[in-house]
Amino acid sequence: MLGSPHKKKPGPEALRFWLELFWIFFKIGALTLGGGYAMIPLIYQEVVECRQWLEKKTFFSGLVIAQAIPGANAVNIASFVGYRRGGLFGAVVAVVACVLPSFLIICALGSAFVKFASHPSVSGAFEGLRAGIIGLLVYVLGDWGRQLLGKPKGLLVFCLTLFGILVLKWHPILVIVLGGILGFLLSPLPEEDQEEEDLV
Amino acid sequence: MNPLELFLVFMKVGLFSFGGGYAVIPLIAAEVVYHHRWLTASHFADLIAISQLTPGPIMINTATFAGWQLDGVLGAFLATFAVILPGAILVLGFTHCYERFQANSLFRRLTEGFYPVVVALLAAAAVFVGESIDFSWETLVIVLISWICLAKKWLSPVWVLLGAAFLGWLL
Repeated sequence: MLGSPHKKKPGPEALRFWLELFWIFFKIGALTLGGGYAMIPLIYQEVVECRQWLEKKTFFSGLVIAQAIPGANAVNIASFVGYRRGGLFGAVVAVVACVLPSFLIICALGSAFVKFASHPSVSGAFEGLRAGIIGLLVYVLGDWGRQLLGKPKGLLVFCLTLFGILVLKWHPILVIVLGGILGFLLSPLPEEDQEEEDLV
Repeated sequence: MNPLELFLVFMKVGLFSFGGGYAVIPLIAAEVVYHHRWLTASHFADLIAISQLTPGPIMINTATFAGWQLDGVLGAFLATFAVILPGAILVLGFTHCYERFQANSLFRRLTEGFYPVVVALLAAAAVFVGESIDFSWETLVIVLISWICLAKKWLSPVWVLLGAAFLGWLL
């Protein structure tokens, strides 16, 4: 079990933790064009892979909670991670940091932003950033998707969900709910899953 | 329009925004354009263009920008805060009871059943982001380089994204 640093007494170490928490989510808020699920891989990389702040399993439980609750997924995940690692104040720090970059951009530039963003050199950088985000998505997808191989039921749910979103163009909420129900019904019964600790 | 009304409207949007992302835009349009008539439809179209260009979740950007249009920085702050608040409170509630959920076998089964859905949503996100760029050899090269740097663990994801933006600016 990971310790909770927010219980520490105030001091340089605690301060470093708060700054790090802020900085991670500030970067995430600043670098993810496209929003929504495009932000998830970066959060996952920073929080689970690079810093081991959360276990992979906990991160996925957080995703399920974030999905089931109204609001932007990325912000919900930010408050989940912040709360798990730093209590209430941690949640506030993570959410503020995550929202701040675009808030500042919008307040500073307002309507002029359209002109700024369509300037050739800026739009070139945005194009590159989007391509980088695709690279990141593909990488995390490979990592997460590997666990589905050899699990026909999981693969079936994966394919049907993707089909519903991309081909049938159903409303995302409908697809998520149906996919979740199907996945729930097909996943092994609680008695059996004791030995499948490695699934998530 | 008074600030309290602005706050309440965006809190309502935040409360009903299941699914997040683009799913929320019609909801915001219904409130801000059709019901309260705070913005015109063409203003709203601008606003969506900006929200797509700005980093971060589109729903929050839309709220920030609509608030900014209505009442400057104060409006931007109120709308952003209001749209985040309901979800944040609920997440904190759920997270607080997380240990109890984790012990619940139904919740574990739900998490496992949800796993392929999450992977599929991620794949769909890759397709949606892909649709928003003009594919050329330059962008393909950037996608490949980013992927290789991450797979080989040469660079942390943030540096990969900054590098990708820099390459995009160069090419």
